[in-house]
Amino acid sequence: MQEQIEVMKKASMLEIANAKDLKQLQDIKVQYLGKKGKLTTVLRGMGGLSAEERPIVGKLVNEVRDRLEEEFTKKEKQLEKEELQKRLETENIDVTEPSKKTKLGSIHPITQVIQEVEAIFLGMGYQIADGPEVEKTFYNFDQLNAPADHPSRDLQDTFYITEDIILRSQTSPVQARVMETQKPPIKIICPGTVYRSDAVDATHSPVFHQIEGLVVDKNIAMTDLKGTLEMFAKKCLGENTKIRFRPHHFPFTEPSAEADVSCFVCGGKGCRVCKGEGWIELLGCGMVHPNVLRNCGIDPEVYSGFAFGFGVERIAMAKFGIEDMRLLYENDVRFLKQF
Amino acid sequence: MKASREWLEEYSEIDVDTATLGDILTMAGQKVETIEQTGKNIKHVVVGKILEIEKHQDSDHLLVTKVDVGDEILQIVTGAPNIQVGDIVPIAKDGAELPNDVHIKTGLLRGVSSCGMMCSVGELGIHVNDFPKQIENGIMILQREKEGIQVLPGVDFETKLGSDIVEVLELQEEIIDFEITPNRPDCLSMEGLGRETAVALHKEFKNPRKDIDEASKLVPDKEEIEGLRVDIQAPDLCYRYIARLVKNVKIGPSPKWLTRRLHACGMRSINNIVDITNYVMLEMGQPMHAFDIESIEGKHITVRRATQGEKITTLDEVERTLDTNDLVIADCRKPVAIAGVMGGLNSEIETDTKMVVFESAVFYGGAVRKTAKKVGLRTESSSRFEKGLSPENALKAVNRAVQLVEMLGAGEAIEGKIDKYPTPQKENKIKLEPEKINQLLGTHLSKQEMVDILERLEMKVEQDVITVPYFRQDVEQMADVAEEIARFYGYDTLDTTLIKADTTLGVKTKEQNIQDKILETLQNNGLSEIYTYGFIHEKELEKSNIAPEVKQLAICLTNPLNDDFKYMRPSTIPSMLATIKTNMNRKNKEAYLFDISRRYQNIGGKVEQGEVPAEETILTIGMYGEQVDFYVVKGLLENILAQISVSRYDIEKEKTNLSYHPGRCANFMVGKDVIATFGEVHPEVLLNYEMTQRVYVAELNITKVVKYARNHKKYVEIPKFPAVERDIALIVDEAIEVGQIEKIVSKKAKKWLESMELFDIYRNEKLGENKKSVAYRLQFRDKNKTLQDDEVNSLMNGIMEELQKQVGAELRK
Repeated sequence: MQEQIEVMKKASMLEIANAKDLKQLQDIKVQYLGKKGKLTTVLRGMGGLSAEERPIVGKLVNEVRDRLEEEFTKKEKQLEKEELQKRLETENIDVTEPSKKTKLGSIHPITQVIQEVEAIFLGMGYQIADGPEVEKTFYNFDQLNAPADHPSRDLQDTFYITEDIILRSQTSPVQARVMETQKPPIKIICPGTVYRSDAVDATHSPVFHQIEGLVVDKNIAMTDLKGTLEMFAKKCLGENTKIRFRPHHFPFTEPSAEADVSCFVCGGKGCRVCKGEGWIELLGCGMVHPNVLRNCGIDPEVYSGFAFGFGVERIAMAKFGIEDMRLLYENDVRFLKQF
Repeated sequence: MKASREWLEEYSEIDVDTATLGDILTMAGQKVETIEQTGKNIKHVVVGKILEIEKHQDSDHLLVTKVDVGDEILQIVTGAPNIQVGDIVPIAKDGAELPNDVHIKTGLLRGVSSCGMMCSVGELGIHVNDFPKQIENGIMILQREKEGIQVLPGVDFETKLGSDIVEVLELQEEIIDFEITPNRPDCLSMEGLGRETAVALHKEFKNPRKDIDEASKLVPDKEEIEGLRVDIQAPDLCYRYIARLVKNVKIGPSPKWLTRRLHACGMRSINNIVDITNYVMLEMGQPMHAFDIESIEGKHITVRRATQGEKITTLDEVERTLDTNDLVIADCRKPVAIAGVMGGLNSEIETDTKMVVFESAVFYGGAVRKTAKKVGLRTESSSRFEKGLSPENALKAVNRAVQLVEMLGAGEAIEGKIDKYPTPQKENKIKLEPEKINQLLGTHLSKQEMVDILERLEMKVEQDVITVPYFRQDVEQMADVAEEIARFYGYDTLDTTLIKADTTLGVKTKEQNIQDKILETLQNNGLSEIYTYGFIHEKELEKSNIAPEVKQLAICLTNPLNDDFKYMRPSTIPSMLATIKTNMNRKNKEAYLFDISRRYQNIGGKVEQGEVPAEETILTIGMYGEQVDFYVVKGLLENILAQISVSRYDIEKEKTNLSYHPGRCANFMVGKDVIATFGEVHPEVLLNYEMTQRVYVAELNITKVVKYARNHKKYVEIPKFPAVERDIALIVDEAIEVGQIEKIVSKKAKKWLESMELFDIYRNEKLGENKKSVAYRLQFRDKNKTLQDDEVNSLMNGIMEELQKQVGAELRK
């Protein structure tokens, strides 16, 4: 009988080893270990054995069964692995086929620049202020130290609606409005649409956008203005950006300056964008004119402040390499989709 | 303002090259636009005399010449017809260089060798106007004895054969072009620029006109000279008027040194008297005018306002019509000049002028500017006056002019001056407050350092009080003084510091946050942001069927660029439709666009009352393409409202807005407040725009919606008990809106109804005429217990009953 068991063991081991798939393996398992399986049958036939033989055979059968179980499990794992492998092979896909997604839209380059600038100044504790585009001459000019005969008030430069109402030619009237209604400390930037009487061409538009900044507090110095703008330039245009102040004149600041930044295209070596100069004229700025503070009810003996302003389109055009300003307002989807 | 280095050097030693000087002055506030270097790129061009001219054997138009260039005789072939034997001309020899990268080499012209080239004025990079009797398209004739052509009076070119043309004509000049800011009219003069140069370079300012100050004291005041009298009738517009006379005038050309300087500053030489007035203006910044005394009728000069419609023909031979805002210089019958702008042709200096009146006056800048703009004449004179000149300078200028007349032998001074000076310039004194200046600039300068800078600028400091010199009327208060100190301390030397003050919070307002969310939502939903002009043509409003009551709120500009930009839009629809049209014209198959911008409505005639009109921020959506329909736009608006937490709203059909298709337009309402309108564009409007595809637009009033947006969201517990789902299919009349059904169901089902999803709308003849089947999946849940089937069944029966009663719905079997 022991011999019979050994033969059975050998035969079954061979069958297991040759099993081609899980189903076949399962059949073999049933054939040997099932309720009516060969090994089970042997176990049942043990009744006819002698008392000495019985434990020996019993032990052998158990050993064989354990061994077979082990072999089955091993083989099972192996076959599972093989089958997974097969499946993985059949499930191979072309990853370069088109994706399924909702199409993304785009944010206009002007908004992108404004958002970027806003984020920088929000981080420095500035608020974003806003005001009317159809504005009083009082806020656009008088309060900003540009009295009745000032050249900037000419019809050639400013759009008039009535003698007292105009389209704002700068975002500065927002500053005047804020100074009139808020007490220092004031830290604001005002992005917005402005209007000047320029015909449309590649570099001009009667409608464009400005961002102005204003800080009024005790002990605000010109070096603070320089430091603030340097930090802004580095964040907006790159860590290696340098800033240069040149004296200039604006009616609402004194001292006034024009600030150049090292060309962010060539890094200051000189290129087409900076016309070989290595510097790009970026913005106008200065210390808020004492007359302006006084006009807005702030005592220039106690408070001082700085203001700066620049055009958004210029930065957007330089940043995105747009050479014709008209593209910004034509809104061809083939242009818009690029941003 | 153009200035030559040569002239600047009269005021200050300059020990740097011109480019460096430009950088230094730019950083000190006088921005250099360009530096022009004439003559630098001309090499091996010499004076030559034409000895022979013969026709070229193989050409009709070429000439073969022999030219004496001093040390040799050259054969030169030329095509220029304006030369004659004996002419002295510029010769570019073999290896010569000319402006614009032109190189001259010996070569063969139709088989005849030519060892150089004769040059025209243009080829030398100079202008015809700079040298008498020269022509544009021909060889420059330096000297032609029989016709008296002599480009440099007093120079015999016979003796200069072979000499370098650059040296002989003094072509080498470095000209710096400055952008002068409007607050610095003093720098529209060599004296002003010279002073700035000296201070910037730390050199002594050499004022060559010091003598004039002394001489001025010796000129006595008179009421009348040679019968001439002066009256200022408009002292508000004329601060000072000085007249001096010269007699025995000999009109002729100016000397080379003077014309050279005029040319360098971009002015043309006319004759010695006119040149003197221009020279003094360039030198001292005071515009001058010279009249022939014979042309002043009654010998009485009046400075007065023009009469309405008064006419004058100016020196440029154009008749100008004036009004009572314009100031004129008049004799007893007619105007002889537009004050500060241009002289009249009637009083022009002629070749036979014998006695000249020099006018040195100061007019109110604002008036000069307006007149100059009105008559369209912005002259060297008006552009100086409009910035506000110092009356103190006027006296020095007129005396300088008379000095030059005598120096040039152009006439003899007549003693005395007529000087009308109704309101003398006040001397401005400012307290020097070093701590305040240091505080404003962020510097740590000592008082002495400040005083040093100020005194170099001729601002005297005595006992902490600064006396501002007459030529610096722009310096009015402490901040102006600070700027002067900063300029010469160096803007670039200033430190960079960060604000040392209490912390402030950088946060966006609710409206700004809402706008950001809208932007983000629309971008994620496939829409592209556009930027449109707020201007609009009246016709666009009509084309878009904007209601008359909205149209009349449009704000009209008094000085628009053109009719397209005449009004400020009271609605954003036309701007969007124009953009859609552009994209259709360009064959773009689809466009999903949005614009967050303003509309301007003159409600209640605010503008006429001097108040600003209503401006609202509007989100405008515009879409066309195969995938777009009414419900796509509806979905976008719903997504936006969900994003900004506006949850309680109704959608109601809108039939009266004529920009939209009356059957395909709706409003989003919060209570009775319309926050958005959207739908398909009216076919009539499409026709007006010649658009062939359906277009969908939406307007969401952001200004309005802000107040309905909730600031924060609140967590609702995730349900613990299971939901029960039921599907029902209803047959209803076509006219019944699904919204009505939904309202009935949700009212009946109360808090148990968790969701209601319309999953099918079906139309079929079998349903009956004008019937439709709508199928819903309803989901019920009680948050406190598991709902039982019988509870839901009885609710469903109730719902069905209600639907039947209210909208005649039947269950579809």
